[in-house]
Amino acid sequence: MYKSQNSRTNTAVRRLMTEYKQLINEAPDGISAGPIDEDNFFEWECLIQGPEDTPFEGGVFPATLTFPKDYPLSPPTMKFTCDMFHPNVYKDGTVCISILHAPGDDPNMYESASERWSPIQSVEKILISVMSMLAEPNDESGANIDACKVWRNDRAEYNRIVKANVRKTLGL
Amino acid sequence: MASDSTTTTFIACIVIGFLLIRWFVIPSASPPSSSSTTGTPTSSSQTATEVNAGYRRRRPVTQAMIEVVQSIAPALTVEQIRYDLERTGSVELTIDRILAEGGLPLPPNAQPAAPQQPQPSPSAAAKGLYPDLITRYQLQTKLHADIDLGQHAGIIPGNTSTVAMKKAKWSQSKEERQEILRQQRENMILRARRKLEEDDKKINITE
Repeated sequence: MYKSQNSRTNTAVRRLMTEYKQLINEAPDGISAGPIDEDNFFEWECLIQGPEDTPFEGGVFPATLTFPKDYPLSPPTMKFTCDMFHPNVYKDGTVCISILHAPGDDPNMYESASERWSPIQSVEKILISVMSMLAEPNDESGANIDACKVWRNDRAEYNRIVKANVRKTLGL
Repeated sequence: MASDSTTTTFIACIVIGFLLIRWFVIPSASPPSSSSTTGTPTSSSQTATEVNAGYRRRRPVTQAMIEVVQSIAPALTVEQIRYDLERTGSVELTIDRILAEGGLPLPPNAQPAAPQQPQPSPSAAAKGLYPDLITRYQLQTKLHADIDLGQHAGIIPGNTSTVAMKKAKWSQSKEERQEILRQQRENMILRARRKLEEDDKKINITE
């Protein structure tokens, strides 16, 4: 029991190391991610740049990724550590997006299995998905009801709040 | 006749066996899951559960129960949910309470971290929870220092960020790797910040 758990943890660390290496060597545009402290490979910090031509443009948004011990079998959880006003981000910062849901648990029963987490996904793909989520909120799976309402009914107000958060996060 | 009684015995054995297994499995299912909960969340919740276990062992609360409640009320902390579940012993009763009262009371020995968590009105707590990036990474001194960020800050960061990052390469040493990552992060933040400041200046000039 102990041994099998141990080897699973080793698999997770090895996999995370490989992903970390790839992210450093071929950093995709507008993304930076890595362990907060290499002594603990299960807690990562990442930065995501706001996509262009959206109210998030120009912003940089920090988030933490928390990996389970059986990664990559189970997906990590992602939480923004800045003010984030978005229909698919809970008020505590937790991101609600299909790629972060394991195929088994689909609370809403509308996501197709291919969109959801599987071991062939990666940190990079998660962050890219989150970037496109920022650009195009998914109205069907609202996590922040207030943001959903504002996004749907008053786009100018939504843009204003998002832009204010961009400036606040950068200390302006 | 003989076969009839063996069938009865057989069925009785299955029923007794089933009950025995149930009896053994269900009480032993909670200790491992509760130990796994102390491992995963923040250290504050760990101490809270230890303290809780110290003088009040209430009804068994499994991680699964907490997760169910949390999926309905993500703004509540694990401690709050655990505290109420220990009281009610039922997910339904706890959820009813959340829906009726709009939240849960804090455990009596709540950690100082608890006030950060939005309780009944999460929107109020959403303001001013996080320090900005400049403060968090102590970049005040570097804000206006003449640091080469790989590119002139005036150009749209999205198109140019790769140039600065291409310099970074994987290193065998742990310290170097962390340094590369830190550099990458700082450059990204500083570039974005300078871009915003320049945009502000442009607006001021045109006005």
